[in-house]
Amino acid sequence: MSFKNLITKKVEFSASHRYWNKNWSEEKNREFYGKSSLPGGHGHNFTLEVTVEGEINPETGMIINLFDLKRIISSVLDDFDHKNLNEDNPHFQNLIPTTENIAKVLWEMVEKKILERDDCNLHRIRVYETDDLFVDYQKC
Amino acid sequence: MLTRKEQVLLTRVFKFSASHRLFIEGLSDEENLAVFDKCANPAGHGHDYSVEVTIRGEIDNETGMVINRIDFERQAIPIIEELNYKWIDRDIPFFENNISTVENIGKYLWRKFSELIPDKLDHIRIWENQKSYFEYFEKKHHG
Repeated sequence: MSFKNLITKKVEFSASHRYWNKNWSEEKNREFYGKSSLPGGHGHNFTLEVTVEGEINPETGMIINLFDLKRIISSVLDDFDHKNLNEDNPHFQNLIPTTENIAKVLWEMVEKKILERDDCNLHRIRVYETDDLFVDYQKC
Repeated sequence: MLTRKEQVLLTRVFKFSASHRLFIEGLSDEENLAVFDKCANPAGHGHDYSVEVTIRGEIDNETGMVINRIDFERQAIPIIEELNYKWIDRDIPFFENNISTVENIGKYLWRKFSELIPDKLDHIRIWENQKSYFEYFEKKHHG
C-alpha cells in the first residue's frame, strides 16, 4: 500500500473578469454566457487552494516550508489580485478567463515554481469562484 | 517523459430545505423510534440540505468551459426545486418505496443528474447538516 502526504494552503484574491469569445457575435456571447458577458465585466472574491504532495522531511517535519509556499502563491497572484483578468493578466489575452481556465493557468504558474524545488510536487489546484461554484484542476 | 492528462472537475453547490421522516412502513411508531431514534418522529422534521454536483470534462477550447453552464443551470434548478420546501416522503414518488435517508436522497439525485449529464457526472455529495455527508459515484473513475 502506498501513501500520499498532501498539504493545502488557502489564499483569497479578488478580481474581475468577463466571459467573451471575440470570434462570436455579441448575440452569441449573450446567449452562451448570459450576464457574465456584459461589457463591464464583474468581480468575485476567489479562493485558491494549492495542494502539494511530497515526503515529510524528517528534519523539519514538513512537506514544504509553508512560508515558501505562501511566497510562491503570492508571487503568482500578483497578476490576479485586484486585477481585471481580461485586461491586466497576460495569460488571458487569448484565453477566456472562465473559472476552469483560471484554474488551468494557476496550475501552470504554480507548478513552474514548484518544479524548481526538489521537495514536493503540485497535486491539485482548486479555485472557488463563489461558495457555490469551484473547479479542481490536476495533471496526472 | 510521461504524457500527463489534465483532469478538470467543476462542482456546483445547490441548497434546498425539506422535511422528511425515517420510518419503515408497517412498523409501529415505537418500533420506528427504536430503529431511527428521533429521525422517526411521527410528524417528521427538516433539514437544510446542500448538494455538490461534480462534473468531469475537458475545457472546451472555444468556450473555456467543461459544460454549457447556462443550459446546465436551467435544467438543474428544477431538479433541486422539486425537493425544495417539500415533505420528501410524501411529495416525491421515488420515496414511496425508498426511505428518505441522506443515502437515498443522494442516490435519487445521482439518477436525476445522470439523466441530465450522463457522460460528465462524476459524483454527488449531499450534506444533511454540516456534520455528515454522503457521496455517490459510479466505480468507473474512482477504481
